[in-house]
Amino acid sequence: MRAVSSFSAFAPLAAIAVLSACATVEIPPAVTDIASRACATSVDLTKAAPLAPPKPDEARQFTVTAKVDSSFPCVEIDGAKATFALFSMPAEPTQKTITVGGVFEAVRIFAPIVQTLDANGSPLRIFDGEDFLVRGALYSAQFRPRTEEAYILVRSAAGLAGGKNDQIRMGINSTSTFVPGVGAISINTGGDTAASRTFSHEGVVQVIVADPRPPQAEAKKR
Amino acid sequence: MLAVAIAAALVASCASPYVAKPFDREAAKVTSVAVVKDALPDSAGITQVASAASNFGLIGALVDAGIQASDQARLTAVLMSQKFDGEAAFLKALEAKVAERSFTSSVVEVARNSRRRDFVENFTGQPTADAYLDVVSEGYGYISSGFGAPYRPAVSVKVRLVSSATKEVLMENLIEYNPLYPREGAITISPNPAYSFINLDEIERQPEKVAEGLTVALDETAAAIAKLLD
Repeated sequence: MRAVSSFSAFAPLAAIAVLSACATVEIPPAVTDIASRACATSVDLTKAAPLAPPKPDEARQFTVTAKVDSSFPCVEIDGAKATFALFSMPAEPTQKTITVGGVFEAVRIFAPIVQTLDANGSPLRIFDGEDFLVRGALYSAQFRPRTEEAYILVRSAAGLAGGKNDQIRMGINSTSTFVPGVGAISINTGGDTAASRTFSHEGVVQVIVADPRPPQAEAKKR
Repeated sequence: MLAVAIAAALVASCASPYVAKPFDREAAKVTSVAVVKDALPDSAGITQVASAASNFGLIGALVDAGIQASDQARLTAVLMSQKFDGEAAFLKALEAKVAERSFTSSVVEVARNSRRRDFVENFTGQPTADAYLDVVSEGYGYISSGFGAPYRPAVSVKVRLVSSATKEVLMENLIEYNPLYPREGAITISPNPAYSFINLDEIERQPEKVAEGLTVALDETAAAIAKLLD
């Protein structure tokens, strides 16, 4: 029997999002040069944001977001200035899957390099370049922390800032119309969109912490 | 068919986000991988999701089913004219991309013993590598989001790296090339804009480019899999 590719699994008809644009929204621009900023030569570990669930019942998967703007500190590493966000590891880090990177905004993406640091702030692993892939709206690296890793440093990559990321996304447009004698009908049509974004020293950094263990295993451990 | 698609969408929307298992190459000490055959379905599919006919109730759905069956036959004929072999193209790309990352690779045939396309349940026999690289595609081919939108290549795969010695899953992930509704947590790859066909007539007029578009999509999917092994 021949098996023919089925698209039903990855191309289903789902709810159509209706977008409305009533108010003027300020679109943050890409920041591609921070050469004029005065930066520290090391990061302050005491300022690390904890990777903790907002509520105890959200411990299996939660997201921590940092909007890195000009108020955030910068650091100079190997002669390159970078903005950054620093996070401390979640509870039971070696059991967690960490997905971390820059969020797709309207016209920009935070240009990320991710480093893990030990308890003293010394760098251990680095994720850059090809380590990053697109996961939903996050340009991200993914890893499972090692025992000795205490912090996650997400800093901007000078070599990436100013570069472009182009995406084509399929979508469906839905239009409702009234037909006399029939009533309201909804017409669906294809609506692909293309977007080009610029990698930036400022933008939204996001960390997703997930526990891949089945709930029973986690409960038993407790 | 439409009802099934909607049901699938509802299930997907209620399901938990997918949580991948990243690979730690340094810890795993894997230097050789055996790529499992039978990664892709036997032939490429084609679909237009929000087609013109699908907007007109039950009658429209029946008409739509007929049109889509005809489209499938036309795409199959186009790819046959190019002697396109998706499985061969994908395995070749995957072996090459894995080799670029300093793994030695081979291809092995292991029975998939479930009725639906899924990962190998039991790896038996003498292993020929440190780990099995098991890739299963739920579908690949050409997709248009709907009437007025072009057909572009699409690929959906799930991938696992399984230790030959312990059978432990060392890495697992989902990769979707040009998805309509990407699953939360999956890796997505934007389609190459060079391969876009406004309708079936254009697909039939450019058979070489149609086959090339699928080869590029499979190649980029293989490259993403290889990146997960670093």
